[in-house]
Amino acid sequence: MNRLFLLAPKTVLNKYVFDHFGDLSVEDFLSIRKRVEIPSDYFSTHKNDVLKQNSEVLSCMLDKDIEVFRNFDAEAFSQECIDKLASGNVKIKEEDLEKYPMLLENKKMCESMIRENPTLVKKMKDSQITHRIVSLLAESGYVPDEEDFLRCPSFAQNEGFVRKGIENHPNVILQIPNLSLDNVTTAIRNGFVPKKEHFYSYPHLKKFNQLLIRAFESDPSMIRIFDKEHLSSTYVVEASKRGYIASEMDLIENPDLTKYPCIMEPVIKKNPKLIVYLGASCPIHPMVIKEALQNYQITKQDLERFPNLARNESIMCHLPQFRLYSMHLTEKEKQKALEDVIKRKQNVTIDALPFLDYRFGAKADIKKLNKLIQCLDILIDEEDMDEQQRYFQILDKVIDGIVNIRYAQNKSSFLYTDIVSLHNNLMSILQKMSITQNPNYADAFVVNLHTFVGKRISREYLYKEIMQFYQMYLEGQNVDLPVTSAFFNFVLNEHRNDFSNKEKSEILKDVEGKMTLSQKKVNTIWNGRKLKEVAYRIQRRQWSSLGITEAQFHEMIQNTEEEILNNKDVKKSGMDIKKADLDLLAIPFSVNGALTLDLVQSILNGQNIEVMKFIVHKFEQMKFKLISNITLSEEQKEISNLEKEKLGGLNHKDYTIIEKNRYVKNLASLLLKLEDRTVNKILEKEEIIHEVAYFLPLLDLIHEFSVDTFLNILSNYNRVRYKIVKEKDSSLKIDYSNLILKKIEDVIVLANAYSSIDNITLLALGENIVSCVGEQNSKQYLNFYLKIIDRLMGSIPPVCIQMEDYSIESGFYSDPERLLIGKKIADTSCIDLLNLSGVSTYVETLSLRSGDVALFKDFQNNLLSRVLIFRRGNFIQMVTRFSDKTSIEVYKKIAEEMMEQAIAMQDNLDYIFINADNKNLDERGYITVQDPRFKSSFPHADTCVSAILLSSRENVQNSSAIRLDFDVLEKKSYMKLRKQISYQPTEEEITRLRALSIVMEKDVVERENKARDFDPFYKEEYREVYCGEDWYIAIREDGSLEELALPLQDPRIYEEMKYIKKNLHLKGNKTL
Amino acid sequence: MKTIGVVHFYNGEYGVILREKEEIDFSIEDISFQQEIHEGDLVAFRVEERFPAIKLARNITRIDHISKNTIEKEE
Repeated sequence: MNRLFLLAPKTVLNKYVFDHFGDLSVEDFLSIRKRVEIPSDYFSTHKNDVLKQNSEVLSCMLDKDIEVFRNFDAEAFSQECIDKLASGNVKIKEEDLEKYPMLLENKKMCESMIRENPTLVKKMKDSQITHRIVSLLAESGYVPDEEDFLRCPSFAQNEGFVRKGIENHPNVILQIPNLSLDNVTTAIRNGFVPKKEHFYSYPHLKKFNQLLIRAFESDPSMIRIFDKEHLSSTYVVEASKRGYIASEMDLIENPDLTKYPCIMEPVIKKNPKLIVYLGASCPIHPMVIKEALQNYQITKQDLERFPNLARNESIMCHLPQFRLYSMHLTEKEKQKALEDVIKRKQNVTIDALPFLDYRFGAKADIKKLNKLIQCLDILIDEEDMDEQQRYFQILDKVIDGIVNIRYAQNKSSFLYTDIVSLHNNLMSILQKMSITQNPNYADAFVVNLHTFVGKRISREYLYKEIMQFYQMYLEGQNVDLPVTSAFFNFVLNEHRNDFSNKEKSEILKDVEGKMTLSQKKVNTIWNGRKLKEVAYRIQRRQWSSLGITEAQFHEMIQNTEEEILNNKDVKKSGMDIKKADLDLLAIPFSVNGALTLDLVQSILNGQNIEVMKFIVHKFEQMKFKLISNITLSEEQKEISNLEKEKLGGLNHKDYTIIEKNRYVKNLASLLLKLEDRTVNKILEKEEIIHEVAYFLPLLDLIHEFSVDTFLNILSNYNRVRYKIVKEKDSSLKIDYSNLILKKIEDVIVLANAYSSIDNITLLALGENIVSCVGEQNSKQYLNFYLKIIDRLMGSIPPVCIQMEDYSIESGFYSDPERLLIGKKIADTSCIDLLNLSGVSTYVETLSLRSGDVALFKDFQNNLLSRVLIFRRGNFIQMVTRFSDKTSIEVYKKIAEEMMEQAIAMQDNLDYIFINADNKNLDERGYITVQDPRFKSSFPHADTCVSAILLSSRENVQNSSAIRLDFDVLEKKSYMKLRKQISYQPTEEEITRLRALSIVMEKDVVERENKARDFDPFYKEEYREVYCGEDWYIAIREDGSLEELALPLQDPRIYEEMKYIKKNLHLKGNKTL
Repeated sequence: MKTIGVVHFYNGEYGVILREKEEIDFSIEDISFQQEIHEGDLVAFRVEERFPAIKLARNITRIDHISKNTIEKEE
């Protein structure tokens, strides 16, 4: 456009613009608009893309008409134009946003648009949906859908929004990360049915039982997504009833399913191969296993891939060929299998001994065990008499060492412990004698001394010595210790010799009983028995059983007589022996089958004893020729210990002192006891272990020289060796093997001391417990005890019943005696912490809400019996020991007391049962109920499928009226019972509390400091002391107070302490 | 009860503490927090007795170091 044209009059310009609007450039527009008004509708009626795309033009036009923007292209929308639109309060329609989405970038406009039309949120970019927008949406009543939540996490943060979203679109629940129970309930109420994919994509949904149940209601196969916490026999049984059969993938994805027989049985019936997935504790029906195994042979590879199979007793008993894989293999079975391999001089391999594989319960690395076998390898030649003699000498030295240990152990209990006590006794006697002028006082002392030395010194000598001292005493001479010491040393030495001889002969007698006779000796004994049998058969003229005829027997006699008559020595002897004389001798021999020297002497009336002995020998020799016809029965071959004792004592000629079998047995036993930590410690010094290997065949013959002792020696060998040699620099050539033997007494005590467990651990558990569980296991039991000591509640009503001779108590959760339920009374029980089979039941009984145990104790607090107690849903099941002989009436009493409490507490406990497989329980008059879950729900508690009803909430007429619900949640909890306050506690009780407070200290630095300061409790330092089960208050002699409470949650601890303090008007001033 | 002694011998695995010429055995497991301990160190510990008269040090902690010469002179 010509610039001069702008000078034209307005009307002309208006006309020009109207006619040529489509041709106007931006420059033209900007120039013309200064002269004439350009109507905004031109932009809708005329076409001019240049103007419509220009932001300057738009900006100008907006100043005149805010609504004009709809005629412009999106390119024209500069920030300035958008701001103008925002400040112009223009109403943006939904269709505007299609064309101009950038308008939403303006906060003000965006908010205003959302306020006007909340659905515009759908047009917004995810990043544009701010918290502000979300709250505007919420205010405007907008109903978000699943897509909204997916696009913007802010939606999920608004509680009301979430609720509204779920109410209208239940699938929204999938997008809410922090779901509440309320959200879940709302979603379900509004028709949400979760699907498998939902749980896979949003695993947090699994936390909600309701969702799982809803999913399960619509599809029983949804049980596959139930985790351990939610899976229960109720759902499993229902799924099974509704026809669910798990697929292989289900079993892989949810191994918890493999625990249930009603899941696994149909699976296995359908596809026997899937038997490999069987869970460790799934008690499957034997018929199902048999059928499956007919169609599918389980291989070694299967067991290696699925080690749970080896844990399943019900299947392993059908696989005898894989017995060594079984986790239920007894120690005896392991020992035997290991011995067989060692005997064959083969390497110990997992192939031969699968139980030495970690997967099948091994405790130590098999390669290291092989290395140790090499280190402890010794040559054993049982036939080598020199070697037998050498070992006999070694054994003798070991016995001497042990006798010395026993002497030292018993010293404090001897009548006179040392030279000082002897001297003091003498002095008191001399004083009495002198005062009373009665020498008879010496008699009693002499008798005591005579007994003390085992009568090794005569009474006369002892009396003479005492009287000499008396004389000196009367004469006022010195009778002090240096004067009497020589005599009393002699007495003490004789006493020691007497003690040692007696102990040694006891040990030798024991060892002899355990030793095997040498084959040579055995043959001699057997031949003697055969000779007796020959004689017996001759007596009874059973010639054919001797392999001869009577004529041949007489011929043998004739030949023997000939040999005697022709013997040079007989001829030279001067005895005139005739054939007739020998025929006379042959008669009693034929009758008795034997000839004695006395008889020969009386018949021949001879003087030459040697000749007569020769004659007897020749006749007896005849019988030797016949013994090959005698076969001894196994019974006749037996050689009793009594017979062994008559042999004249342990010696290397009659006994096999070093025996290969014993070496192998001890080595196997040692290897089975080893754990990784110990074997590593031993192998750190592998180059010197061989020095003590020769002890292996002599272990377990004497109590103090057991495999355990040897293990202690091995684990501390370097340390013990240092202590014995006392040389830091061992460059001197020392024969350690010999030195160790010489000092075997020190070696044993040092090794045992170095392996001993810290006193604090032992005291925290208490001597009673340690003596039962064993010192080396005490740490494991203490760790478990620390887990149960703070148990406060349970689902089983506790009982405390006083019977005539004993008491019954349950619910005393922190009573350490409960740790012994598998050790005391029921010593063959597998319900124990260290028994792989029964540990889960042990843990449930002592530590879980659903378990308890009632202990039967006499009034001296000795454990007499126990009964395990389990709560499942609406019932309690008690399980007795197999050999328990307690009357059913006693259990009924326990049950009634429990039921009474449950009713008073309004608990949903309906029934109390006792296992029906105890034959000692007289079930007449009781209702018996059968349910397979009785067996499967209490693993290793030895329950059967039936139970006897002892008590019920309501009167039950017959078993069909009983409604068992294994899974209903228990309504009530019962608080643990507490021990009564002790007003005269023992030192051990208080020491135990002190030790427990240290092991329970959480701050490790503080724990070490407290442990360093630890002292047992000595009553003599205190005036008074009071103690509860987990606290004590002690008042020192100076009146100051010491108090300790274990860090436990039971509020009654502080109530009890307060009560004691209040009654004693005490105020605490020192807290440990 | 806490007591004090001087490490007389220690080879990194086990050792002996002297308390008034009385020998008390210990092993690395008895040292609190596996502290570095050397011969000549003054240490605090608790004593346990084992049959017949073996003394073991537990919960050992290092207090200070005393030079070897001082110990030998005292001995």
